[in-house]
Amino acid sequence: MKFLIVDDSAFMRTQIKQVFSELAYIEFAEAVNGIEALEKHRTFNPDVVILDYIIPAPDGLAVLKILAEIDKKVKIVMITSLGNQNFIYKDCIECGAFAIITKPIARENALKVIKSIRTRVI
Amino acid sequence: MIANQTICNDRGMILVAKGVLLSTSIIYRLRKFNIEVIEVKEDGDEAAQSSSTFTATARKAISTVIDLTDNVFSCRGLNVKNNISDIELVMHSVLKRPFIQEFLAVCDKNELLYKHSIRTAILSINMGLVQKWDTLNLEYLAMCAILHDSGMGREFSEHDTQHPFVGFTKLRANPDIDMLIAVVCLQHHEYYNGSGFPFGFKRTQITEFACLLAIVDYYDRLLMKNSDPRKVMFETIGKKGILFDPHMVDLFSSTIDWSRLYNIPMS
Repeated sequence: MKFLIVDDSAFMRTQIKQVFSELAYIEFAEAVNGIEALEKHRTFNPDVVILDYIIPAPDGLAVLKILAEIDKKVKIVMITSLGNQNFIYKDCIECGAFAIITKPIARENALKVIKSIRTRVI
Repeated sequence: MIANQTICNDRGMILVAKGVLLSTSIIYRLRKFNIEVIEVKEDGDEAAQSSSTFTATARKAISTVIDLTDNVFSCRGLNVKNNISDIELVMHSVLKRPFIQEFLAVCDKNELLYKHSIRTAILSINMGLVQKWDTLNLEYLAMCAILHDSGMGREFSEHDTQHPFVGFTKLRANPDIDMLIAVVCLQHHEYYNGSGFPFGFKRTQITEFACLLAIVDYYDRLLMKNSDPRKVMFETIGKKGILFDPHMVDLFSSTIDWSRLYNIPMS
């Protein structure tokens, strides 16, 4: 599987890679902002995008909307440190997010994401 | 070595662009912004590409730039006089790019679109110069401005709400075109209050270049329909904080030569 991780924090990107790479064989690419995320999506063609809600413009929600429009196959997992705020969940799901998980990413949440992605892919 | 990716800072300003030779000063600049990793390519093809020729299309465009820059001052009251040589230098550099020449060659048949594209580039560069942006950012801004309506069909119509997305898709499909340019094309009708199209993005969702281009594009399109530059000017700056980022409106206002504007005879 190919994962694109989009987060402006290098520490978070490393943490996300660690959690997911323990669970499956994954090829990773990284981006730090919305423009780079769209560029890497064009060149890396990921199966899954792990996308932070708050990144430099265009922000996570805007990138989610664009990706959902141009690539119907890609699974977009939004990550947020803003807790269980209902409006964020609602916005993300309405815009086509596959799942939403909170930071820091717990192993069990990552596992759930991997399992459901595999189920849908199969 | 040549950069194989474009890196922007938090505000969307370009620190290094894809295809640029990584000089010591650029590497120093990246370190200053805590950028420690960048994709690179060996010199070769890219260097050859950057020294592309100045075709007849580019020569025609540069003479249009000279005519329109003069017109922008005399008929619209925008103060470009002090920046004429810098605007021409930036445009000269941008017009060497094959994909810019290709676009201009196609839209040459549509005079409205052709002139609108070049005029928005002139006005955008002028605002960028007031903001003291560096050459790299000015060149990208000019490319964004020239290509912003590349999704427009044969008819130049502001009611075509699909053209930003069509343009984005077209530009994104060309690997020579930076993603930033495609995104600015996508967002040039997005407004500060979220009332724009195609996605209704607002504030932090819109890139800096798109915020700037939105006001220039709006102003120029209004002037195509209304011959009174004063009325158009007030209508544009009156949208501060509504359709346009207040900072961008202030920047736009700072390029107005008020005494000239009030002395333009009514046609």
